[in-house]
Amino acid sequence: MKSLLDERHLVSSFYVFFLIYTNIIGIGIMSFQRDITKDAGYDAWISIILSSISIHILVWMIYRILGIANNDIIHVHKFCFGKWIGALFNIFVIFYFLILALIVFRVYIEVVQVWLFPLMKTWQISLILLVLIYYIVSGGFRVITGMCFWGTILPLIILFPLNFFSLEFADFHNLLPVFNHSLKEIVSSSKAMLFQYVGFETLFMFYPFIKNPDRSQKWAHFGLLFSSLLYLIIALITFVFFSEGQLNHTIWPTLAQMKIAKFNLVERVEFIVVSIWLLLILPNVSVKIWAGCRAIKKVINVKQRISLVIVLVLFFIISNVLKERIQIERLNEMYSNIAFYFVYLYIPFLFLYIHIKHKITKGGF
Amino acid sequence: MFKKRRMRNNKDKQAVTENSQDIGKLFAKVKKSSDFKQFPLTDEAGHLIISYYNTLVDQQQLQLKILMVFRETPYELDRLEKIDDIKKIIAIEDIVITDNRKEAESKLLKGYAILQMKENDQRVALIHLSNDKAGLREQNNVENEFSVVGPQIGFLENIDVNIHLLRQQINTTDLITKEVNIGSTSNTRVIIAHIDGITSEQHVNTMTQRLQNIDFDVIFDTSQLHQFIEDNSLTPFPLLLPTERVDRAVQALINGQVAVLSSGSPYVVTGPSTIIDYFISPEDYFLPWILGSFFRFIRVCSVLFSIFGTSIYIAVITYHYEMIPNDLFGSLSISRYNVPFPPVLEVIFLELTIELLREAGVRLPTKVGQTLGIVGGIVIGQASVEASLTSNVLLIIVALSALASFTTPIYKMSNTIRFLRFPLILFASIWGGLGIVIGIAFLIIHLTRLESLGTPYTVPFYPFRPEDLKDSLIRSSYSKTSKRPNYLRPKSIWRYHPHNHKKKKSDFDE
Amino acid sequence: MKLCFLLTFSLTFLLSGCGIHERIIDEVQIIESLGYDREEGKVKGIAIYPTFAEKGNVKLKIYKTVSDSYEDIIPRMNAKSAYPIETGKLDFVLFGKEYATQGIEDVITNFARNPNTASRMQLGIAENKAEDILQASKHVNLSFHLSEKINQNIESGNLPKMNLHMFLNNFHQEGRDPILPYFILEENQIKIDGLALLKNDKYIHHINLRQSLILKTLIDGSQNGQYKTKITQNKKKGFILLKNMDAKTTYTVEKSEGIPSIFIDITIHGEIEKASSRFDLKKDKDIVKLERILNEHFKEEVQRLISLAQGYNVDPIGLGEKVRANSNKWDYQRFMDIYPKVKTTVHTNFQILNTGIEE
Repeated sequence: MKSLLDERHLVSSFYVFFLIYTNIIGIGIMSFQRDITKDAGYDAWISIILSSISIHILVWMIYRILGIANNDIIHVHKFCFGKWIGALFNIFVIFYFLILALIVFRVYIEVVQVWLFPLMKTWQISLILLVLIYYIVSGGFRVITGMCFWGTILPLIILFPLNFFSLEFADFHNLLPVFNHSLKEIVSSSKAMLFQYVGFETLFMFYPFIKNPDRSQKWAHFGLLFSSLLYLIIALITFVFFSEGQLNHTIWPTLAQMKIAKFNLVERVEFIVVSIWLLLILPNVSVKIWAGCRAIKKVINVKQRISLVIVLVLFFIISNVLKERIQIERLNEMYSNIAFYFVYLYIPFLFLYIHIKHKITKGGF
Repeated sequence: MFKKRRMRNNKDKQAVTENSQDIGKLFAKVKKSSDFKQFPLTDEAGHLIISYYNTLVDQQQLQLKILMVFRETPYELDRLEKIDDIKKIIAIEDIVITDNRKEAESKLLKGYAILQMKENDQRVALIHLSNDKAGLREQNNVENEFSVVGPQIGFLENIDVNIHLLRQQINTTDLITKEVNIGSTSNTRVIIAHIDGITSEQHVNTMTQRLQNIDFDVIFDTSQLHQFIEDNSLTPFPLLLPTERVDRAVQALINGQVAVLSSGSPYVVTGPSTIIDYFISPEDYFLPWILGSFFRFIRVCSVLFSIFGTSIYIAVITYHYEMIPNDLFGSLSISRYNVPFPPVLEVIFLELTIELLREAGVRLPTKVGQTLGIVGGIVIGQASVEASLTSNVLLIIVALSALASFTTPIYKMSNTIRFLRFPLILFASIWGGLGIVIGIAFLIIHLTRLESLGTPYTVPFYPFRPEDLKDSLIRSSYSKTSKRPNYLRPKSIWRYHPHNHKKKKSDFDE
Repeated sequence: MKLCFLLTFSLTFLLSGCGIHERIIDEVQIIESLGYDREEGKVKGIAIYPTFAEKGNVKLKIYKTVSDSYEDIIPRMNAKSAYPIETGKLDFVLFGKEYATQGIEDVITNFARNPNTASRMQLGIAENKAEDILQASKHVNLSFHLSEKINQNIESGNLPKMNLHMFLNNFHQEGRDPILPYFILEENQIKIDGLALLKNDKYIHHINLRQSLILKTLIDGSQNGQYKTKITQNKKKGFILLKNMDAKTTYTVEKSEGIPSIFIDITIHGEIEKASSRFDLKKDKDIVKLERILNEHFKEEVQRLISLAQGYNVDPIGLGEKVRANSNKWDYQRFMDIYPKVKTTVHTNFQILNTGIEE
């Protein structure tokens, strides 16, 4: 299949792994344990696996959808629903990506304010981070992918091992008894887990930017598998490290469990952790903003450079307006509902629809 | 902007050549210089007139090869009917016959003598008498990229000698040199060397294209050219690798890079280069690979320390005292006791002192410089601790990081590292640990955006090429590095074929 | 474009100098230990802070303040200090017995909520007043020595693993009650004299060091520690001094419904440091005899400790936790009611590894 874009802008299919990984692992991994144990208790590790399987199926669907179109979702919408209704859907997609980016961005700032600098003004930190994001996104998709690569490698090398130091205080009895929650509880915990995977849909936008996109599917699944493994490992460590009662009182369990690590030269590594986490947040937010701006360009034909500046200014304003934790959480909740329907209803619907339409029009692309 | 100016210049030049075709005008102009000589070779005035700059030609050759022929032995004028016959008489290999005034002028300035049959003859003979070696140093020991093991031969200011050195090692006809003259005033000879059949055409073309596009007056050094042909000038990183070591240049060429030599410069610029090239010392290849890898690894670590050492100090001391272990807390606290400045000022003060010593050490004559280094380092450091201007822990960190920045084999990179510290210090002083990571993020994005002759700067890490990692952070043994790095897109991938006699996995004692 | 970029950049730099709270190491006053006492209905806070004036010479000093409630203690001390008081290096919080009997939850959850607090912070309960202990610790010119004392005893002494994180874990967990080291003054020197047993956040009782080792064996499985025991056999008195005990404990919940019963299997490998001359350590027969005696002894001690805990209705071993892990229906309230009746069977298997280098 020939690509629509200049070879210079494409990235090889191998990087889909990093793109998927950084898009999934963002802010959620610091705090997902509490959400998923609300219903399923310490059986929640099952729901991590369940939700991961469901996402695998969805990724497969996305590849089928995009494989037919050989283009991004904007094009798919235009094809499926015509120019005007398609545009409506496309505008939804734009907001979908941008709001997700905003949530990640704002929650990270909150983490910084809580853990590092309680007195830091939101506008200062958001300004400098937005300048960084501008610098990444304006470099084009290759640079974003590069950032994804480094954002995967560096935190994985530096931060991930810190989790294991908490095993010094592990109590493996916490995991017992296994399977003492009902299926319903596990399913509703899987639903909570789903939001941690949200972000993989950016695949809808960057698909045309992949060299040999049809061959990249295995990397997408690898990326997904790897991130769910990471979730699983971290969740298990959390479960043996915290008693269930204690976990309910901990807002950021991952950070709290890394905090116990202690070295001869450095104590209290949470300062390092929160800082280096930035390297994961940056590509995560950048890909989504890029996807949003790319969609804006395709829908209303505004230069990405201009729309990027506008989007970043909006980010700056909104993240300063959202001051309280409750507001952020409400936005988060609302979004996770929308995301749930988008992911579990809309994607399968689109999958069926495009197949039928494709059959009717006899491959009219 | 540059393009416009270049076009205008070209027009000017053309205008000049059209107006004064004749050689006479040239002589009228050069006669103004006192070192220009013009006289007839024979007694007959107006015949066989030789003109040259006596400062540019080799006097001995002039006397032996030309004056002797025409003055000592009675020579037959009849053998010299046309100017073209001069080649038969004078035993000099490089004689050009031309009626092009422009060529005559440029050759005259390169140390050729102009020989005319008659006065105002347009067709002249240009005889090569130049004295290339005059005024150039002869010693070609490596000075700045010294290594204990391995050859100590460096390049010289003489471009022909440099090519000679290259050819000695790359003993094949595939070593192609392409000459370009750059500099509207200096008219410097610049040679692009590459190995045919290995180097990607694309690199050679890009390099040639970029060199030809340069419009500048005097080219002093390749490092100037380097700045003109860089892909991005808004960066502290060197995008092409300058070296004075012959073995390094040869290594670059056989890997499939392009080398640029310039007359009057003992540095050869090679490209496309990647960031890891700047941490590779030729010595790595002369040591057993385990040692080579180890020292290379140490080098990379020390560079990281050099960049981040002081900023981490600031971040920890200013914002994150919790990170200091209990045992260290007392000694750090004591060392800061009585220091009136905030840590940032303290660090900047010391860093600037070190930079000052460095700059001064470079400018001063060697012997004085050494003394100054010791006096400055010990006395000033000790005194400022005594005077409670800085803490002694910081003194250790700053001194170590200064030392560590010297471990890079390439001087340009060590300058970059010196520079990079300062933004990071600022970031750390504003946002502590987060600031450092913001700095790192900027650095990573910047590096990812950089390209050297169109090749990504951070290859083989990003774009990730596991094959090429064999000779990056570690130096694998020679049996593993038989292939050329992929990212250079070489036309032939094998450098050599390692003996792959398979070791039989036998039990020990058998 | 580039200009705009640089402009934003420099602006951020210029403007962000203000607003972030600098905490330069020599311009904050860290406190390393904090004590809480009740005094005539009020809360008395005692903080130890180190001063590092000259090399190798640490001086510990004390802030004391009295307030109506615990929240006010640190702000009040701050008013006395030249530099802002920071709790980031706080390593040890000590409660007077009187304070602890009324509950320490508020103070501890307050610390837990603060991201500044180290998870490895140690807690403790003083026999009498926290003030006495801290006052006595002032004379030691070594910073952080109180928490070191606990850590050292966890590593090579008779205390089980504990710190703030473990405390909170046990505190919030259903089926295990927290324990804290118990401090006494002996000849005006601070001594850890066993463990305090807590119910929820309230002090209930304390056990001595020997029992602590038994408890450590039951909780962590110990790897070291010293244990001296008197034995009476055939009306003859003697003693055995054990060291380097490597113990492993496994629990089997035999019945989780109704009144649970738990089988505890303890394997101990130990060295004999000294024994009464009555025993001839050269003889295998005597060693076997010793092993039998020790088995009996430990079994008895463990049973005694469990029934002591059951008597006070505290569960430091985590028997509830063991039952929870083995039952599908878990009702903490119900378990608490039947806890004193939980049956335990102990089996010990003592093996003497060696008897020192001299015979």
